[in-house]
Amino acid sequence: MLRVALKSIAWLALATALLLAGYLWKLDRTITETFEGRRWSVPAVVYAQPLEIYPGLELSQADFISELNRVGYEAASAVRHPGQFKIGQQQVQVHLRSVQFVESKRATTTVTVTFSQKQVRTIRNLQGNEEPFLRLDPAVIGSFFPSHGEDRVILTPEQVPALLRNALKAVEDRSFDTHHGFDLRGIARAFWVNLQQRKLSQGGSTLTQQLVKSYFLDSRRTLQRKLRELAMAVILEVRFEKTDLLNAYINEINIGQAGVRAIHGFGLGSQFYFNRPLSELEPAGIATLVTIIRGPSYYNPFRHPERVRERRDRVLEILHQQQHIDDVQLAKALNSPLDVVRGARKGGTYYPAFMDLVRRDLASQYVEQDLASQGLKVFTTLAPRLQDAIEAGISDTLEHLDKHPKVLVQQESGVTEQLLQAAAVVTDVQTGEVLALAGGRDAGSDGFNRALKASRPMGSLIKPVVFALALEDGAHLATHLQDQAVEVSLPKQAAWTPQNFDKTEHGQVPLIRALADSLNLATVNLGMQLGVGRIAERLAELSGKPTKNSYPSLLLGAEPRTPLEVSELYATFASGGFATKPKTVIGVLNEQGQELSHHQFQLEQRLTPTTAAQITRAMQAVMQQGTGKSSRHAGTQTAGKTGTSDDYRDSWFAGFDASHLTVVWLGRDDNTPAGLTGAGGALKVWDQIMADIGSSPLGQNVGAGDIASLAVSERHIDYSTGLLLEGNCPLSKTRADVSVLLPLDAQLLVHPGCTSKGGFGKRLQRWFGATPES
Amino acid sequence: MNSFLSPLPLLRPLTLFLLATSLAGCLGGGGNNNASPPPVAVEDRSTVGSNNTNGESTNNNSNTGTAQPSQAEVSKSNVTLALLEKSEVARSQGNLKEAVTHVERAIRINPRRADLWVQLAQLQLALDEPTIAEGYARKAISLAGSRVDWKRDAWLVIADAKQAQGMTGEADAIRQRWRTAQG
Repeated sequence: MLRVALKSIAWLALATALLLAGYLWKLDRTITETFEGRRWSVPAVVYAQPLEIYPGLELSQADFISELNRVGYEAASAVRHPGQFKIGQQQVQVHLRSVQFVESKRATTTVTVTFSQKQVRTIRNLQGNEEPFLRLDPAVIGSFFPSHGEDRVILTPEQVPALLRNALKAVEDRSFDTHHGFDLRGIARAFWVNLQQRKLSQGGSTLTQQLVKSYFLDSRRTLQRKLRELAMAVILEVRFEKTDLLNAYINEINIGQAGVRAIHGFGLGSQFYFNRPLSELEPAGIATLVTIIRGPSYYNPFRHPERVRERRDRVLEILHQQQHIDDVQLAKALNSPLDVVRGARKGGTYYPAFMDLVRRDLASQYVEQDLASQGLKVFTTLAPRLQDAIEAGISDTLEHLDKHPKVLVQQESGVTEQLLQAAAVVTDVQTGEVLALAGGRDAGSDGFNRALKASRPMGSLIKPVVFALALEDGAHLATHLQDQAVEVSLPKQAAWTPQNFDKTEHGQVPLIRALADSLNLATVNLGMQLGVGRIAERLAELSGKPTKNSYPSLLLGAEPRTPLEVSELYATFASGGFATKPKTVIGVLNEQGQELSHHQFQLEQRLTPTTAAQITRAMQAVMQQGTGKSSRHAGTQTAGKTGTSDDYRDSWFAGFDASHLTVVWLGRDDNTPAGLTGAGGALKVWDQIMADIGSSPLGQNVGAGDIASLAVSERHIDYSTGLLLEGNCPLSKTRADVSVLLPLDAQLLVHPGCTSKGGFGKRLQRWFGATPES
Repeated sequence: MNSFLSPLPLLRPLTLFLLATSLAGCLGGGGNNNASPPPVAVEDRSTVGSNNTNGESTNNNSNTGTAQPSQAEVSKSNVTLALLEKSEVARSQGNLKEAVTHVERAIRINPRRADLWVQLAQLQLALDEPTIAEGYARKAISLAGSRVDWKRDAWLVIADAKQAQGMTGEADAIRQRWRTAQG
């Protein structure tokens, strides 16, 4: 009997042992697999364009300092560490960090930049020699953190300050170096200390146990959990080196929360709370971070600064006790304030609208999963200074326009409850790179991105396409068009009788005026002659996007486009005839800094330089004589086109100079009338933006050499009638005087107001011609 | 007006004299049938009026191209030179992709320098991208202004690009035209 019983027990014991072994084996496999691969999700970091600085650049000392702040540099009395700068008289000395650019790495070095009259004067290196230029660190503008919301910056052991390691051990796990995953003495100590209730309360968990808890399991505190945690901790200790475990802890532990984004690891924690890299923190900063991990909501330095400071000071005392910091350091640290930085934008993304477009641009080459986890570095085209300018421009101008009677009346009469909304896109005219993007009037909002998604009728913005086609068909800017009533018959519908904005017919007008004054009748007459089908085709070729509208209404812009799509069309004009794809990414590197992809400028010639130059000339006339003449920039050689859709629902302006193309849209999300014309609304925003970013004059678009070879000549005409201004004309050099390129064989009548030798000669011919005038 | 002359025959010699001098003036000057266009003031867009894509404007009023280049323009030339050197070093070491990034960086600072676009076009040719190369070369031509040398270089890239795409006839025609261009 006994033998049977013993045998059963033995079998049972064996079975249990096997089960236990199996269980432990499974745990072991789970840990090792995950741990060995270091499979943390490291979201891709996204950078803006670095600021390029050179002598003569218009950048004041104050602006330079704010750019340094933007990339996390701090003013100091002496420049000892990377990340510090010292302000002097008209100069700044900067200790540059080592940084990864898209094509190279820069080692840490010191430079001195001098200023004079709001311009950069010289840049000198450490040896005192002048450098031709300086590239600042690219600003981080966001990261693609994954849907489960963890965000971190991975640190290698070399990047972790010794003080942090010591602090963690001192405060969290005194016997870390010697225990095997759990610490009986530690548990006892904690028990005792907590009983006393006066000293620093310790948890009984070792760092290893905390690591397991954080990495694998949720926070249910059942006995089963605790035992499992213990087992895994032991396995980890057996499998891995202490240094690895500590480093894993440093990268893993939860250290904060920002909305849906969970901040993990000291690397990101340092950026999140102090806007500095961990290596630059003083003992006070390190002690603060060590305080926070005990309970990031309880020890939230923004909400409970006194509590955090108190514990921080205790941590500092322990560090001092254990001789990790000396008397001087302790005194200094105890005296320093918490110093946490409440950043302007605490979400994972600082420029959500722009990031949307980056994501879209990367989608063809990278899956979301990789972007969210592989630690990639994405270098983009964003120019933060321009972005700040458009955000301010939109916000300031809309505040104003909100009070405009035509805008208010929509709200007061109950038509809508919504405020005006806006979107803007700024691109480089030559390269197509997107320098700034606003998806709405509230820039930081992560909501509906109107620049990419608000598809609205483009209205008069389509007209340059019609006129470009006319020019290609042999017309010129002085060609006479008929701005008179037209009836377009449509299949199965009543005939379409478009109207001009001012409900008037203007009769015979030169082509340049038909475009600049945005005359609907002239456009429709012209468009019907050219053929709607051909215009639809040309629109597709010049804008990169086909249209579904093959009806005459296309001529007046019954064609929905987003602000970004409008920008792509106008890029073809602004660039001198090249279809230039908007792009946001320069290059993508992997975690090791090797290039994964490079994104180049994409352009293709679609208009001849002469046609492009003439359309641009006409769009300059928009600003000087036409619908855009109320612009502040009318006299400074910019070009543009206003657009207003039916019932004033959408207010558009697309305008450019020699460097930047900016497209602005104003409207309401529920499609009720904005109440403003293109000139009254979008142009005002554009004006403000251009004032902030500065403008560079267009100048000549077609050179003398080209003019000679293209059989055209530069002439002056009267804007109103299209008649030639030659000789002594009262209209010369007035607002009515427009210079245009005309074919050499163009037959034009001279304006009657002009008196010239040519005119006298004509009179002479009449005398000798004999027929007396009556 | 004829009535002014006819009743005063004594004035005829005077009138004839005036007519003669006026005619001389008329033939010397311009009428609307006379195709002598007024001179066009054109800036050499290779050096004037360009600015930083980061939004800093070098608003320098030199629309005529005759003003002294500003310090910013001189600096930008230096920057461009330095970056072209880097690009050349990379190219000579066979790092074509790196060479491209240096030229692109130069273009961001000085977007209307036609010779930079020529460089980029040549690099794209070397990278076996003839269509892209042709696009950049045409861009260079549109920006070259009076710099016939840059135009010639750009056209020669187009010729090579066409050659690479099998359009030998067109390639030869272009070379024929541009090989001898002075600049």
